[in-house]
Amino acid sequence: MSRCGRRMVSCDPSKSIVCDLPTDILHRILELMPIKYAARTSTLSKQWSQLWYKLPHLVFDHLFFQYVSNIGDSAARIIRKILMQHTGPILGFHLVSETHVLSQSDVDKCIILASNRGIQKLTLNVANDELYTLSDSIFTCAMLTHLKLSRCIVKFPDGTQFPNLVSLQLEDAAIDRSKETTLILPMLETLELKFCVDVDYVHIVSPKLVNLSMLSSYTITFKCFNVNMIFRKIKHLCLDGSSLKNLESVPMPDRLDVSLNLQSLKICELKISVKRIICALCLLRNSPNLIELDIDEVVKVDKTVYHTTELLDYLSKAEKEVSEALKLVRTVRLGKFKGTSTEMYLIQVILAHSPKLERMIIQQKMQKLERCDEILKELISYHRASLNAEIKYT
Amino acid sequence: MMSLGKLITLKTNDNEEFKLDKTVAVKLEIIKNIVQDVDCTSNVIPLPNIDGKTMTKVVKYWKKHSEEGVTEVQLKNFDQDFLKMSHSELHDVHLAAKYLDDNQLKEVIIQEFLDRIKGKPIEEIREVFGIVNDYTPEEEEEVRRENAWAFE
Repeated sequence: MSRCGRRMVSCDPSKSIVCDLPTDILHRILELMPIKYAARTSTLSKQWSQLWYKLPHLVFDHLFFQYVSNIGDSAARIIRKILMQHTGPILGFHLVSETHVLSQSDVDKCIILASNRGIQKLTLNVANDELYTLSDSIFTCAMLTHLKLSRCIVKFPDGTQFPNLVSLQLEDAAIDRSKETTLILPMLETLELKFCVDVDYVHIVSPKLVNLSMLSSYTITFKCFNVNMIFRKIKHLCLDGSSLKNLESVPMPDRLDVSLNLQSLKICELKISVKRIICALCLLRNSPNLIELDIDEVVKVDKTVYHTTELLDYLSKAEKEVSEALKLVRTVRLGKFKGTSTEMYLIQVILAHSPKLERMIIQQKMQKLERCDEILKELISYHRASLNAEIKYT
Repeated sequence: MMSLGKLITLKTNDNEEFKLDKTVAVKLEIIKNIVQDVDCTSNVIPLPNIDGKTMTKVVKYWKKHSEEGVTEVQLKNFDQDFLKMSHSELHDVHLAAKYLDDNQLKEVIIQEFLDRIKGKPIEEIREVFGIVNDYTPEEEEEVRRENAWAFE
């Protein structure tokens, strides 16, 4: 009787609307909630249990690991159970925890279970003390579109192909350097390397690459720009101070052998020095299509007074180079602005030498700088080579 | 800051008309495509899948989100207020956003549905959304057992 009553719960059509949402939207809603809550919805009704057992993207994040450790259970056991119960394709499998550890063999088992279910997106980022050695089964996942690996040792078999891979992100990853290998990624558009070592042992064939980001990776030199096809094709390049520093370790050519296809250049943590500015100018001058320049943070400028004077001295003499570098730039963004004299000088130089500039966006590091009005007044007084240049100060 | 001042008229399936600044309207893929096909200054773009009541909401959202100089805080407050609507209205706006291919609005609606479900006890979700429990007690118990880890 009571069950009957429960079944007869009046179904107000305006209320049951959530069940009428298309399956992909319901899946999206479940994927956005902590996986524990998604699992609980399986008891709502038969429709919802099917949604849960076919959930295409499984995200095991910090909240999951924390919860499991609080209830004194084993994360590896639960993840395996969920994978075994699962009845649909597994398109995304993400293990992400900055603090929790999974053993090599547990991760291996998960990857083996997920890898023959059509996986497209894989993230591995668990806090193992030792680098996790990537399981070979991953190299058979031809459907992969997104691969994000952290704290891993990757041993690419020579001639590895990921025919559908669009994005490859490696962080704190080491490439096995026992022999040089070729990695064939015909669809790759985005490559991000952060604190990676020995990436130069891999020859990447990626004719469609457009976004390249190298942060604190130690193998990039200007030689690359001349010899490596990758650098000629990319449209969006992101470097940080230390990558730029590596550029300056080789003799600086004034002209590269080829012109680059860059549309935007982003420099993170630009520690001002004449050499780095020369490097940046060299990149800009050899990029005839570049329209966007993004400097994420100019660092420690006032603590290196010597460098500052040296820089001002250089920039005042290198007018030709600066003009050439900024010839086509339409948007410049300066992030984490602190209002230092070097930053102000840099802005002044950019404004004076960018005839095509449309927007100069200056974003403050802190909520509001004390001398905000004063700075703004000064910024507005600078000479602008472009009549259309707008200064946005936020 | 300078707008082109060109207006576009969108007409819903119940013949309500919405005049929109072109710079606002062409942010949407679907409208951009139509605009490219025809000279839109005199033309009206029909929206056969959307009614006036829903479109009023969508336009309100677009206008706020394309306002010059609007701050993030203001947008956040606006969104909070905007989303105070019934499930079915939310559903309608979602369908409209889907038809108009407005991913930002779609995500906002999904996030709102999520907030209305997340973390609530099962009984409450059933009640709020009128989900009919079609399990036998044995079946329900079994599903619960299979997912026991989530109920600790």
